[in-house]
Amino acid sequence: MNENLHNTPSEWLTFMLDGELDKTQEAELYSQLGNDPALQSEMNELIAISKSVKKDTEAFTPPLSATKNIFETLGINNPATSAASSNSASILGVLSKFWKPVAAGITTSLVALLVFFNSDDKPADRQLESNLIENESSAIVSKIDNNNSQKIDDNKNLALLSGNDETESSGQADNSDNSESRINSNNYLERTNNQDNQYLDNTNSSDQIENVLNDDEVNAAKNINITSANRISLVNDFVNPSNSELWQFELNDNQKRNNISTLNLRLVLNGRSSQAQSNFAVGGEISKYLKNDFSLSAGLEIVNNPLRKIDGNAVSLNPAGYLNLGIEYSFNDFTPYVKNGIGRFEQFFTYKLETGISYNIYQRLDLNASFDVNMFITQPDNFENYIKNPTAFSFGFKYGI
Amino acid sequence: MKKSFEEYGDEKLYYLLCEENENSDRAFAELYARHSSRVFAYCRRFLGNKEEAQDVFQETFIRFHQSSSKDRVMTNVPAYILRIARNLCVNSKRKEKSHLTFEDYMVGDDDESKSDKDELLELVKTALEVLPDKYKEMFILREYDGMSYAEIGEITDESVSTVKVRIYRAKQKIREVLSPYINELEKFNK
Repeated sequence: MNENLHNTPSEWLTFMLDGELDKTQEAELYSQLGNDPALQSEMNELIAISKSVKKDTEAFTPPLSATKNIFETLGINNPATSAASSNSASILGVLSKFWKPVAAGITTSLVALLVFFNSDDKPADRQLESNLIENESSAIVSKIDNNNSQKIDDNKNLALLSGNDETESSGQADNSDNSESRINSNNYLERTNNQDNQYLDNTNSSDQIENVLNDDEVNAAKNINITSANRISLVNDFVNPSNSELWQFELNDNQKRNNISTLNLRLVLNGRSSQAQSNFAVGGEISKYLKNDFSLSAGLEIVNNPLRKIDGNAVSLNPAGYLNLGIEYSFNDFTPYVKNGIGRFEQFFTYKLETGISYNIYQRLDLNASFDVNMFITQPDNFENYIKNPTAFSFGFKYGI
Repeated sequence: MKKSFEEYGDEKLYYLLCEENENSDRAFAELYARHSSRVFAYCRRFLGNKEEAQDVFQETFIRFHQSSSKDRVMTNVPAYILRIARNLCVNSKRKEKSHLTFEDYMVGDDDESKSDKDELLELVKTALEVLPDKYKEMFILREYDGMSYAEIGEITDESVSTVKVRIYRAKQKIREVLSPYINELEKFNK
């Protein structure tokens, strides 16, 4: 068969579609294409044939058995096959990489628990566990049932106090008028207190308390223009003084999101596994609640060896310090967050972007998991020796103090 | 370290393969990942028979691994692997006459698992089978393996002009087989 080229437009067309036609011939071919419908039709057919070949995935996909046979015959462990066959094993493999830093983080956090758990409670700035409130509420409600007489006595004492207040506010005491008004107000207080007791018996919800507070007669009887927070405390004081601290805690729990003066200080301990190596981070942060369950956080963090050189003989590197700013959102017991950090590491700076989530597991203790990526801001002279943009997965604890 | 292997070129990986240490296994795995699909495509379409293609495919990479040597000056790893595959395919063809099995092309084969069967593809595969081996081989290396004419010439030990002619004739032959279905081709152009 004659295997010589004839330099026909049809030949040029094939070579042009394969990228093997020189520019001069290509330009000449384009001019002919514009005037030759048969040549255009041929071009479309050749393009269709090429496209259909690319869809021949069956031909392009080696059977897994063939891959397995090759690597077994050669005695090689194929990383791709291992990852494809067992996702759970790979997850365990990732986790096993940083069990040491995690263990160190757990041990250190347990020590921190022992140290801080015995510290005095400061109700003003603490984030409280709702389960604890409910348990205490139930216990106190039980006390209410068993101590009605005590409450009446308390109310009488308080009524006497309110009677004294009225005496003071009115200036000179008018015995007859004041005593009558005192009796009326005391009776009214006693009646409203009983109503309040009934509310407490039925529920611990602050909404119910609000319902009590919305009773204008209560406010009128007290003759006090107060905020809802104070009203809760005062109602509780009238009803059962031993409840006051409890309801103030619940007040903080329900209103903490809106209380912009609340600050939470947390100790952070994380084990990290990155492309550099396994390491750990320790730090502290302050968060301040904003509106609508959002919080702003700022903190300092020390990470040992967050970056590493590529060569096998990596020298021991100094820990990096990070200044972090983040924003958090709380819902139920979860707090997802995004954090930006600027790190100083040896002679250059890095930027860290971290996303993670915390879960409140017990009172002031949160479990934390996050993912971060470090990017060089300023590069060292031997930048090519460093692993670029290393990522890390962190797992650890946050403890509020 | 895994990322650094992905960044290495084929030639660098080949020399790492020759070192016979812990890096050689990773280097081989990376080369396999990069070139196994095109090698299998070549074997599959050249031989036609799936089992035969799988055997030749396995043998190709085993021989590639075993023949790796620092003494060899390696400039084009995929061409080298495909040359091994080609020689094995030709030998396989010589040993037993390859024949179409109905199962390779019937509706119920591997392609049937896909919901969007490409009828044109089936026609192209059928047309390939009627091509002489010297044309079919060129077409596969060009369309399935994306080789340039120079690389095809290196693998098949032919001149570039010969490669050009054979590829042109192969495509024209396929067009002749598909000419009764030109109307349907226009549907698949979109």
